[in-house]
Parts: sequence; structure tokens; C-alpha cells
Amino acid sequence: MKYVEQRAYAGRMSKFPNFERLLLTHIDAAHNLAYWLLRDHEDAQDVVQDAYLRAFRARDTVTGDDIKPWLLTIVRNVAYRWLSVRKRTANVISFEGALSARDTESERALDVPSEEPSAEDVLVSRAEQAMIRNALAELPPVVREVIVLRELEGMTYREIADITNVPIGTVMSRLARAREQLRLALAPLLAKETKNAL
Amino acid sequence: MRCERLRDRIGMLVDDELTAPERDAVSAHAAECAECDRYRDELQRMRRHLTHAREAAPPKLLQRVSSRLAVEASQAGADDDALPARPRFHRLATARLMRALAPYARQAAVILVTCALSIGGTWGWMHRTDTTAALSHDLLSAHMRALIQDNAVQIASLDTHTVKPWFAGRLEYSPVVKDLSADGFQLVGGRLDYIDNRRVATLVYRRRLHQISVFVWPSDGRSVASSAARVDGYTVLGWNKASMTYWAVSDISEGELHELQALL
Repeated sequence: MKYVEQRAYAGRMSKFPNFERLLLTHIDAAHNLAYWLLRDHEDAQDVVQDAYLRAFRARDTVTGDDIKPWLLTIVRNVAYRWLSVRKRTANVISFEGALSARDTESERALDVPSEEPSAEDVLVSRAEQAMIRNALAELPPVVREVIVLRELEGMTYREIADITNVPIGTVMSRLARAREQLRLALAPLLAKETKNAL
Repeated sequence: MRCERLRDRIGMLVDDELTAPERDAVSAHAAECAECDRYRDELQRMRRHLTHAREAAPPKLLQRVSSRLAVEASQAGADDDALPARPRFHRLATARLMRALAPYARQAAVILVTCALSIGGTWGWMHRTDTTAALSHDLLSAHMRALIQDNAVQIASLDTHTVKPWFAGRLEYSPVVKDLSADGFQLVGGRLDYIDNRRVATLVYRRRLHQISVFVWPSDGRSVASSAARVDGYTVLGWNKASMTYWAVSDISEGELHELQALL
């Protein structure tokens, strides 16, 4: 009896019933990563939609109990493929190249956030927000994705290493680099608070 | 300075990546060393600042992806049940669709509602004249049906000279078929749909990953407000041009549909 039930269940869905709903709980994370890789609102949304379809079709390949790192791996892969298509050069180009080339469009760094500001956001002035977004945008892409996954998405070093497909030591050195650079870029902000605290 | 070398450790402390004994050791040091304590404080404040840069998904994206996944899930359900070849007739297709959707009732509720309204709407059309809402449900469910099936078109061709003749003999009129690939609307092909109690030509275009159904039939004198309506996350836009009535349905933005309207 139990066997029959299990079989019927396995035939119908993967190990997560209601997998679509589960996927959708991570849509903010997916969009955040896509946006900070592509730095374009329309493109980020298309990447998320594409990645979600792929994720849904590949639902049998989920390993582990937490689907978030698995989903973000797919989002990242789709985003990088998107970038290479966007560049559309005849020759093979490196993803790094595509990413840094995009970074030269510095005005993009000042993109306003798409969401409505929350009450908390209002406390942070527009100029400060722009400074923070600019500082993130200025980071080299491979460094930026590590800090986005760590500080904005709360991923562990191990998970970041899996998502970005590099050794854990590389994750740590990139994170240290990101923090050094951000400390310099955000120095006025950090100094101001220290003064207030005193 | 000795503390310089401890910076990585403090980063790991803030990231909660240290073992318990390491954590105690680094915390103990920070308690005595003002410089390391300040560094830890800075990392924590920096994290708070950075969270302001998080780009949450806009609601319309959630809506778009969730309705797309509902379609995908219903398709997966149909595969699991190993349903035989695609049904041919409108009503049969609707009945089969509902059976396939049953296990995903909640997600599919949106589609079920549109299908139900479509049947009711088609019937109601014989007696009523001003039921624009029923028409848009008719259009939307035809679009959704095409998305659910593997093939959105009956005649697949990028060539306008293949698509246009295909309609001859199937319809009593000849729709204008334009190649708009230069403007970012790739022609995918055409199919027949049953809308407003008649057979109509449907042209299928693609923009990026989005599919657009354009329904075309001769105008029957009713005026069509050339403004877009949002239904279940889809945009429905109708207009009259050269004594033909056009209706476009897609999940692309309203602006992009207006762009298509201008081109057709």
C-alpha cells in the first residue's frame, strides 16, 4: 500500500510538492542577483523568467533541502549567457570581458531602484543610496557577485563557492577585496556614523 | 601590524564562518583591541547599508512568472498522465485541459476561470452585443491554450508569403501578414482560433522570449477602444485598421504592444 502511494507520488512531482510555489518564494533573491549581474531592469526580469522555466523543468536535479543555492546557480548561468548574447561579437568573448565592458557605462550605476522605497529606506537619503549603489557597481563583476550573494542574500562561503563554481579560498579572497574597496568607497558614510555614535 | 592579519578572521567572524573555539578567540581579541573592534563594527554597518541596494522583484514580474509556471505545471501534469495527441476541438480541448490541471488546482485557478468564462462568453455572445469583457477572456484563453500546447501555430513559418496563402481557403477573408523582424517582432506563424462565434486568423509573433497572439477579423462596425486592458497579468490591446479588427494578447508591456500596433 505504502509502496503504491510512493510510486504515485513520485510519478507526479519531484521531492517538493508544489514546487512552483517554493520557487516563487525566492524570486526576490533571483531578481536581485540577476539585476546586479546585468544592471538593467528589463534584462534582469527576462533572465528571471527564463531561469524559472529552466529551474522548473530541471526540478528533478535539486540536491539538498534548500533550493535557493540551486536556483541562484541557474539564474547566474542564464544571466551570463544573456550577457554573452547581448555582446554578440563574432569571436568568442570571455564573460569577464562582457562584464567589465558593461561596467564602463558608469551612468548605469545611478539607476534608481525599481521598488517603492520602504519606510526604512526613506531614512537613508537619496544621495547615500546612490553612493551605495555606485560603490557596488564599481566593483569588478566577479567580486561584486560574491558580495551580493554574501551580504544581500546571506549565502555561506560554501554555497557561494558552489554557485560561482570556484574554490572556497577564492570566495574568501574576493570577499576581502570587495570589503576593502567598499570601505574606501563608503568611507564618508561610515565616518559620519562613527561621529554620531560618539 | 599584527591586526592586519586578523582582518580575514574578523570577516569570517561577522559572516559566522568560524568554529566555536575560533570565534571565542577572535571575539576575545576584538574586545581588547580598539582597531579590530572598530573594523568589526564597520563590516556590520556596511552590511546594513548594502541591504538597501537589494533589488526585490517587481510585483508584475512575480505575476508574470507565476502565471507562466502555472502553465508549465499544467503541461507537466498532462505529460505525467500520458495524454494522447493534442485535442482538435475547442470544447474537447477545454475539457481535457481541466482534467490535466486538476492536481494543480490552486495555481491553475486563473486559467480555469478564463476557460470557464470563455465557454460562457462564447455562448453569451449570441444574445449580447456589448460584452467586451467576455471577448477579452475569449482572446486570453485562446492565447493561453496556444502557450499550453507545444506548438502555438498550425503553420510555422518566418515567411509572410507562406503564412498568408495558408489562410486562403480556410477563411473568407485574407489577413495582412507583415514581416516585422527588423523591428524586433519575429513572425512565428499562424493558426485558426474560434473567437466571438467565428473562425479567425491568428498571427503569432515573438519578442525576446515572449509570445504575442494577434487575432484578425473583418470589422463588424463595433468600435474598438484603442486602449490596453490588463487581464491576469496579460495585456490585451484591440484596434481597428483598414476595416479589420485587431486584438493582440501577450505578457509584454503595454508600450511594446502599442509599438506592434503601429507597425501592423
